[in-house]
Amino acid sequence: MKLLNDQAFSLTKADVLRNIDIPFLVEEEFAALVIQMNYAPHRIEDPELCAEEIRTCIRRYFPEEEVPAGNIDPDDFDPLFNFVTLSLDCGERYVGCAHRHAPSLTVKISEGDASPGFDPVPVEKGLWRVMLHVHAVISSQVQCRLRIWGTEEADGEDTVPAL
Amino acid sequence: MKIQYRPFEMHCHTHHSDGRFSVGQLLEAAEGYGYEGICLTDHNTMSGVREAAQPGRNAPFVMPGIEWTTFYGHLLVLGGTRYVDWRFVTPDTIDGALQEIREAGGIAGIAHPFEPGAPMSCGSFWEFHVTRWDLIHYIEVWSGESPHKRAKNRLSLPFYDRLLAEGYRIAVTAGRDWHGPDQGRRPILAATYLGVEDGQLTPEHVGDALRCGRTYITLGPELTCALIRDGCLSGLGDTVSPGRAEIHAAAGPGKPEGIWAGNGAEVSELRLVANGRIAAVSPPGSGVLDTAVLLERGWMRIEAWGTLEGATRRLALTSPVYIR
Repeated sequence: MKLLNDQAFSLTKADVLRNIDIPFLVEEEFAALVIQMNYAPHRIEDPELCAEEIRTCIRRYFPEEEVPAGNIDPDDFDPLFNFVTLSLDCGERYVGCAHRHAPSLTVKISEGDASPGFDPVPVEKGLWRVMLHVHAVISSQVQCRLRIWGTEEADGEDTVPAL
Repeated sequence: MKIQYRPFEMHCHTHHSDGRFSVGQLLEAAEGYGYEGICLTDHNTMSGVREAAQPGRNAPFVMPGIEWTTFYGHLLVLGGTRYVDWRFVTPDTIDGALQEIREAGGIAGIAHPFEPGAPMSCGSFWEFHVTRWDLIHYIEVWSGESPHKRAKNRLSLPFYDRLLAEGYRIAVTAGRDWHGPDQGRRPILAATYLGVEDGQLTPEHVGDALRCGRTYITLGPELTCALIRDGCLSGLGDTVSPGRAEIHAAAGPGKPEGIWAGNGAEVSELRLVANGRIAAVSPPGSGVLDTAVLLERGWMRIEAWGTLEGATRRLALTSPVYIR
């Protein structure tokens, strides 16, 4: 196996609504590509911060004159989470997206099989691209780690070290 | 050609995005509720469509789709001959993206336009600055299970009606935004009925129903609606000229095996709503409206009202007939 990319990101509120482009070069063919990504914290544990964010959002999204605040239960929106998703391109081809709420994910791509959310494609030489989509950063910072492996085994997700 | 209306669930997720369903579990659950078709609309991926197309799987029909889950709103994109990239659209470039979807043969619908957005949910609130509303085929006016209880849906219908008043032709839909099994619960569910040619469920026919505005949404009753003007018969989505016309509308009980029969909705009247105002009402307690009206320019639709969960509510509404 070969480590193709290993990066860490410190995300702040300034990164919200950003697509972070992470191109990487695959210089030889592999049986599989394995992408590991995690971020923390995920759940916002500060109840006061959650309550303040939710109050602000209720007024933003439900105008008082149309939907009185008393008709909305803030608990419907609690808890809040930081949220980052990931998509993948092979050259000009969109391979797929991991739009899932778990803060730790492993994506496997091979010619015969792929993780849910992605198309199976051969891991060919060329320029590939991971893109991180920063949907929500509520805490002061979110630490995000990304590692990308090329493996000789089609079930390469079982052989790479844990992130 | 005969138009037949078929019940669909228009907004579904699986484990290909953040759903808790496998594709097979989703289809089994949809069939169990009586849906004849679903739109598979996972967030930012169509990889589940391949799984749905496995040989031997027949019912319900699966319309290929994707939910563009952007920072500025969610757009349901159905059908089409090629992938259109969701990632770079901004509030001011949405018209170009919609044009690209149109050129690819896709259908574009706004999902839950008043769902609270970030950080309460993922960019769900519609913030795009659309000027080419002619490129929007439908709006999900009812979102979620028990749509009659949702604050967001109170804002959606006035938003939709404003666009009709401005002269746009947009179909109405409901979407559960279905993410997982009900595990024994019996939620109040809606259905979107699509008017497909000869009842044929193909991507082309389903796309045509949405393009032409042959839809209605319901929490129980099945609707029929016909308009006769100058001896010609017209239906939902059609355009007729102003003047005298006969309206024949009826609300039926729906299929006994469908969950909508279990919602317990009782129709008390049908209303003909023209340009936002009630133009005619069926006799009290009747689900039949036969009337003659003078059509003015704009739009008209049928609404079924009645009781659900102990209160009088709008139980169903159609896409418009347009008067031009």
